[in-house]
Amino acid sequence: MSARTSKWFLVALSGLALIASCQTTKSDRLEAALQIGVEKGYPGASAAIEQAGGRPIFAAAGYGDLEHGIASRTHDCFTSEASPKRSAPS
Amino acid sequence: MILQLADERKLSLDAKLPEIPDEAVVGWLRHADGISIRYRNFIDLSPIFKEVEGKVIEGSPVLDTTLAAERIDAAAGVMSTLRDLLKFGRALFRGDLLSEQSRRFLMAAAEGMADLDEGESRVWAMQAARKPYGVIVYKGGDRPGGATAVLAFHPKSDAIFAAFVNSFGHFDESDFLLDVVCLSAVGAP
Repeated sequence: MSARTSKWFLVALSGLALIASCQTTKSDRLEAALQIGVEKGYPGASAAIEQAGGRPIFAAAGYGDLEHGIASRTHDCFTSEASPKRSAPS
Repeated sequence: MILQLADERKLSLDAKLPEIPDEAVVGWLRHADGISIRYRNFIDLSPIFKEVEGKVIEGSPVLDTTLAAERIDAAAGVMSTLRDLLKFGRALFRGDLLSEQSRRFLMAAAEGMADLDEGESRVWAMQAARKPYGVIVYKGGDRPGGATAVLAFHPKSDAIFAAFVNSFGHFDESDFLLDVVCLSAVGAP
């Protein structure tokens, strides 16, 4: 496991343990995970998960428009930025 | 030309796209020292992109680069929503969008990955990584236009995951989406 991955994994486990202790729905867990990134410094983040045969779950956190204080929304439109890169070397 | 490759390492954000949908989020570029440290002179920012007064993220000013024309070179500037991205992922990973032969080619990056150490990754037709929660096949990336997006498939749980962050300049947004957010969605090991 790279140092970067390891760092995130530990942060994630700590955060998710806290989340699991007080929240139950998948949407809540997804939103709480996104909130970890917002508290780290990302302006906003959104995510969706769909398991086979299940309904998709959406969540958002932070700001879509940081300057004007407009919250991120699960139906926000964004560019499909897809220039791949590897994780930074440890 | 609005996108200029000044040299092999240098992009120039010097023009704006004419319009984007009203529903679009604002793309933020964190004007971090890291940009010049890791990629010396990687980006020349035009003065048309202003720092947002009073907004500092991790010690760096942020700029609204939503309309940076440079972003059109990623995915042809296609704009989407999470719902549409999931729909595309459904067709791509589970549906009939591709022939079986093409799908195998697409997913080849994940072959044998489960036997590798956690943290291992590949970039083939798709990207694949061995995460603590199993193998993830994905495509993701970022752009100075201020967005990072990931579309992923987790074979173990047959789950499709789509996510984005409206920033560029932290250089760990993709890792965060896969290591924290996707983990919360598909479950801890």
